[in-house]
Amino acid sequence: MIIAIEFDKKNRGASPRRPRTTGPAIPTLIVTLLTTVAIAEQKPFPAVIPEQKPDFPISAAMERLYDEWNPHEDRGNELYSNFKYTELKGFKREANVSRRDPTKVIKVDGIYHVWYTGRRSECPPVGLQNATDTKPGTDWDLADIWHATSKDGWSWVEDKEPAVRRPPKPKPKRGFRSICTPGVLVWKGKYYLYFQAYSPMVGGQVWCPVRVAYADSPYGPWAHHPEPALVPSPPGSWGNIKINDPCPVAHKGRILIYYKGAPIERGPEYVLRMQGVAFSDNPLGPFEASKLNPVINSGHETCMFPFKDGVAALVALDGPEKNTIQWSPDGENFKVMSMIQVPPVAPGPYCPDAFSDNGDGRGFTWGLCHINPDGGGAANESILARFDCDLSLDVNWEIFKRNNLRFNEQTYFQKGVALPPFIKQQILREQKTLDRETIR
Amino acid sequence: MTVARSIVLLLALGPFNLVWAGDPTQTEPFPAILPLTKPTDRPLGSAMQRLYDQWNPHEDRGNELYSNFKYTPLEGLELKASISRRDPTKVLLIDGVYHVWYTCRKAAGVPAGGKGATDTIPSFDWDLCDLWHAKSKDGWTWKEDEKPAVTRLAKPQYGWRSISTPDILIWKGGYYLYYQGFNEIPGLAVGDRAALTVAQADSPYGPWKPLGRVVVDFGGPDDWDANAIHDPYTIIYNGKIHLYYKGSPQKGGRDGTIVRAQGVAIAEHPLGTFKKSPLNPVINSGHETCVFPWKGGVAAIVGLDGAEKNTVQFAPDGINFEVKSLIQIPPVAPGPFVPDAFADNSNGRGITWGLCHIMDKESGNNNSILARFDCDLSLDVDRQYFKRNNLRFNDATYFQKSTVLQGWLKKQIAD
Repeated sequence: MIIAIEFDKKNRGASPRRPRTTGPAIPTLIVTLLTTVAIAEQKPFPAVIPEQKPDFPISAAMERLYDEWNPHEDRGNELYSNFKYTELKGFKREANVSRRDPTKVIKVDGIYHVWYTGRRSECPPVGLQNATDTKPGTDWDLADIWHATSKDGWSWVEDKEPAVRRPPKPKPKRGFRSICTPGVLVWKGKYYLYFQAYSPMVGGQVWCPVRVAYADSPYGPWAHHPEPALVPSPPGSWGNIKINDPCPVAHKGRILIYYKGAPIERGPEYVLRMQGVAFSDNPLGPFEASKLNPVINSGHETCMFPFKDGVAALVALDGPEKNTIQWSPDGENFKVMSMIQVPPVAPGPYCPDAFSDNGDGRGFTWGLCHINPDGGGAANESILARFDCDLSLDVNWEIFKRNNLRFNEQTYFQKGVALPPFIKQQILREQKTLDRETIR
Repeated sequence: MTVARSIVLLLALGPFNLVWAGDPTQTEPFPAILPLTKPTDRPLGSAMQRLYDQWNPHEDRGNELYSNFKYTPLEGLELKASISRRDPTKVLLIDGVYHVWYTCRKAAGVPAGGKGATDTIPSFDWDLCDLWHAKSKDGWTWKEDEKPAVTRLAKPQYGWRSISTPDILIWKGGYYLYYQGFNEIPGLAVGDRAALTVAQADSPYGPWKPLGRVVVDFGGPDDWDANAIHDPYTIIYNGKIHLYYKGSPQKGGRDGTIVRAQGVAIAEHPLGTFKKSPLNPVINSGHETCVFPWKGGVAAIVGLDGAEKNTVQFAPDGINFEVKSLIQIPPVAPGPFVPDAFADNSNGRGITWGLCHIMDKESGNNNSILARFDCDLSLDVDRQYFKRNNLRFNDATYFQKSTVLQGWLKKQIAD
């Protein structure tokens, strides 16, 4: 408030400002002349950022600061955060044991719970071509849904057995090959796990529905529901082969399941992957897909959470709006709220009000995610890790609102960020014709 | 599109509009094959509207101003304990030889912060520096000169404490290096207080004559660029020298101030007078400056800071920038190879590589190294590899100093 008063004082008697709006009826020439005069006499932009959009001419970038962002940038943005990572205790790193794609973390009777894709196989993934009944094709092949508990969110204890096992083989489309990438829902006192169900094989060309298991307690036992919860969209449409990464939230009396969809067709002219939403008032379905799908044009894994009276999303890795936080008032029309860096992969936030549907989503401060230690995606075992952040209305941790995140050499020269030799060869070939003398 | 074609299109689309408006349940799901123009025969959510209005239907892979950046260590300029090299200029190619200039600090102890600095101990990595020059025959292996290209003038002349963060301009056959001049220890009083000066030479090999005075000065005490005119970066545009810079009141955002933003100053002669644009700041985010001619306008890589950190932007007039893409792990302080930076031919072709710096914070020495980045922000190549998404990192990336949850913070959170 004091800042605002001081600013007003400083601007008393300031040079004439351009009229706030210029209607289409005013001839362009006059507008241009007026603007030119105003610009010529204008004082420089002040050091103290005006709280309201100034009425003197400003550049397109400064217009955007007020229209799209806010005058105090990321540090004034409840939906901006950095993410800081911690290795978890309790999950032993072993060869051929992979843990990935955690659900949201829930807290029941003082205990934190998480479910995730767990693979324990005889060998590392061998690729889809070489996969057998016992050799996994990818990191999420031959997987079951596992469960772990924690008293503090830092140290975890994994169950001895999977929470939800792959259904037996004779059932053709129920996921006998692999079930993975779960999302948890608590609805009217019962627990639901939604997950990808692959059969007869994993991979991008295989029909992958979302199936659901339910239990009366987070400790199980879990029962498979016979019908799929979500199925791919019809041939020719954007999500016609796989529905991945189910992420349920409760909003305005309904269950919303967000998911990543992709078509079987591959090529630059096709949708690569986008995110949609389906609605139901029954956790076992049927779910009705939004007519506005896809509702998110970017991102890889889904991560939605109630925020204020709408739904927010952490959108990472892929697409033109990669690495953004978005928000929608209605769960369907999302707007970019901030640009983030090194976000968690496949985040499962601890979001106590994910299913409370009270119109007052508070956001989150931590969760679990996965990291593939060699930086790859499909061909090695992943680990779960913890991230902390401030995407919460209940805390104000300034360190998480900072910018200027810098990386060490190891980051730049790791596989995938370093220039690979085969590209260097291409560049060396092109260099002679491409690198023209500096024009002078 | 002609008026006649528009009418035909409207007529063709009209009935479909009626179909979904009248009976929304008949809307088919969005197709797998991306319509090349924004569909008008179906409802679209905000995100899909944006795909057509702000981006393009083929996302980053269809975007000339999107790229990944891939890094290569330089041969000949390797990290050494007593040497820091940072903030490279644009790279030039003159008579078959690549040239670059940069901030360099040699054998002056470990940076000790503003209060720990002395006449011989630097405060920061860019304190007690001179401008050095290196050349290369291939852009991968570099040879540094034996002596600085531009040495600090003796106290109390301009920039006696440190000169840093140069950029290069060629104007009517003459060579001009613009750089920050520190007349006090950086970080001791008002942050990093430095404005810009220039040195000139007839050849990239020098000798360089420092002007010894400011060419772009601080704004007034209450202005957004009151205490820093940093990171000069020059191109020739519309017949004039456009010098982009990072400005700041140097209060770290205290008292409701701008942390930093970027402006442009325009001159008709390399030694001035430079007139700041009345629309400054023209870029609301970013740390180091990096612009290049793009078609008839100016493109910018905006890294590290601000609401629009890690974006590529474009201004058709060099002033009014719009976000064109969201990028990841962009080069820090990029000095691209921009052969047409001074061509002013309204046909900017973009960039495919350059030099940048990496600060090895983990070593504790606070030394920086130069590295090479390659990319495809060019109209002259089509390197699909650089248009990909889904960039993933290894565990060391997440658990390095800047991204790991530090012990003191964990304690605060756990409590």
